[in-house]
Amino acid sequence: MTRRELIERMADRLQVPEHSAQVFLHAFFDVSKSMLRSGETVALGALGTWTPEHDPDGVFRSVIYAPSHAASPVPVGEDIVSGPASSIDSRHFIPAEALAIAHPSGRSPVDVADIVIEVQRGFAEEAPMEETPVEEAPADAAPEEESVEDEYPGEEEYIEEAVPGDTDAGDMLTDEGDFLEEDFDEVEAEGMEAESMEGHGIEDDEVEDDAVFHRNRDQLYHPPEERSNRALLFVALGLTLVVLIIILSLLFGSDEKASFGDRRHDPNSATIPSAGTWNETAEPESSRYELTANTVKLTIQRSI
Amino acid sequence: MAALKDILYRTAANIGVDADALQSYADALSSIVEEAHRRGEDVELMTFGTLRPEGSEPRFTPHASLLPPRDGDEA
Repeated sequence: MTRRELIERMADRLQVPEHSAQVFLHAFFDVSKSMLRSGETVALGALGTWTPEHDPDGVFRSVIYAPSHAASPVPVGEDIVSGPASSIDSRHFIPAEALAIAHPSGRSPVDVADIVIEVQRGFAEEAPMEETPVEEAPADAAPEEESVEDEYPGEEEYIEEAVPGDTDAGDMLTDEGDFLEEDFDEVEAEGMEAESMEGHGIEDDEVEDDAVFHRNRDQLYHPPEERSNRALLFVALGLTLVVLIIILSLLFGSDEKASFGDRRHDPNSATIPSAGTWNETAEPESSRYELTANTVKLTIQRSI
Repeated sequence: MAALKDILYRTAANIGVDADALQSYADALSSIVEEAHRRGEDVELMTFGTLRPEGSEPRFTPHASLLPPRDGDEA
């Protein structure tokens, strides 16, 4: 068995990718090698034991192998089963008794069915079925009723609904055929009615389809007049103009306000007020207008 | 002495897996080698060596990489 075959068998045995088996084997034996080189004895279970041998100088020179006693050697003359049969044996255990019964001569072809039967019989003898305790039925219960209930769950309720008061199981069973015939007649009559209704329904649908088609065609070639939104447009324009006028008046109307205040006074004396009057009255009014104008400007800039 | 468990722990550390996960690999390797021994097959243990059945017991032949080079090998 080459290392390639060893990897394949490992992967097949463990149902893992070959790469995983290869990685394990390389790592496993690399570690074993390094341990041996470091002077340690390596005991790999059933594989055997390897002991390093050193020179008088302490240099690692060779290994001494001692096979494990667990591994049984090949007896001379024994039939060797090679190939995949060995792996099948390890996975699917077949009792020796079953093989001996089904394959007594050892040379004739084996019928697999015989082996299966013997294996099943052997397991059945080893592990008998556990007897489940059965509750005894009351003496007054009718066995026919139970059987009907088991085989046709819900059937009894149906029959009871159809014939109220009739609780005899035997009568129910005998009358079942009559009920089925009646049901069949009813269903057939309903089906015929449905067919006739379907016929009328088809005609109605055809008429409706024609009406819908003509209505859609008329709408396509003569679409209804849409409502005019001109009035709404004019209203929006008017409102926009009003807002613009207000904004402009706020922006450029500060001088006029100042002149309104001046009209109350004599043009010669009031236009140039005294220092005390200027500081108290004229300055707060103009600053208020400037503040309003700046606010409007900011609002416009933000809206833009 | 390094037992199989020690080797498996070191192997697991080198690969980067859990040591318990490698136990099934070691068991499979042992059984495969044992089966090959029963059939009288040689088993090449990667770069470790080869087990050859001779008589009732297998004989181990070390791989060239296991032993240090001898004086005459370099020439």
